[in-house]
Amino acid sequence: MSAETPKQPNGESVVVECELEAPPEKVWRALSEPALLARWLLPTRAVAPADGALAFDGEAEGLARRIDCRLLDAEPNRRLSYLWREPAGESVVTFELSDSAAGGTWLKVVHGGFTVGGAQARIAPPLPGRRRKAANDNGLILRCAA
Amino acid sequence: MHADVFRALADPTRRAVFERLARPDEARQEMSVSELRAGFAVSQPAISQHLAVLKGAGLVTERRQGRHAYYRVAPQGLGPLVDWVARYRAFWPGRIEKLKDLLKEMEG
Repeated sequence: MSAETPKQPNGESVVVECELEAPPEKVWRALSEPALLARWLLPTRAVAPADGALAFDGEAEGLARRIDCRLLDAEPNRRLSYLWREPAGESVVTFELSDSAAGGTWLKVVHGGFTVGGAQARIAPPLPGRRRKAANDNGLILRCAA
Repeated sequence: MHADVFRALADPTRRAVFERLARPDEARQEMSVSELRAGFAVSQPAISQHLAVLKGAGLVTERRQGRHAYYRVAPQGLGPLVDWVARYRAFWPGRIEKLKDLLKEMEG
């Protein structure tokens, strides 16, 4: 069974989970090798950043024309985390891999930590129990990371 | 596009001012410049300047009464930030489909 359900657990991240018909080792390659990333995620830009990061062009998908993507954390075949930097701000994309019962891979994509202005503010839901009137209709506020 | 909102919130003091306004005590929605300034080590003109930028970015609205100005959060002010996340909510499911296609094409 594959289930792709965009969820919004806490108002600040996008979570998509699904089962893939390939072992984690193979999925890992598709998530970590630049040449393979360019074939499914976004086209890479001609000029790559000097620091070994990847530069994607998101324009065709309605995203930023330049997205700098830098590896933050990696646990081979299990977990991979990228810093996702664009003109609007920064966010973090994390891929979590686990073995599925059917011999494939259960993939969980978490795109969160949306921050503006050098990672000092983030979109966050109202604090539990805090009474808020219609300060903004969407229920999102900025929370300064102390 | 919505660059003004992101630029306005990129300044720590300005963001803190906005934050204070976005979380008024109890049901109070409106604050004066001096209330907003309390606790910040910046001058009143500086706070007014920050408020002018926030207003210019559509994040706050201003009401003038005599010599005093009162501010509140603009209801749709954070729309660009919401849109930012929403674009990715629409983006990822389609990417997963492309990943599945790639995995079929890959050797091994």
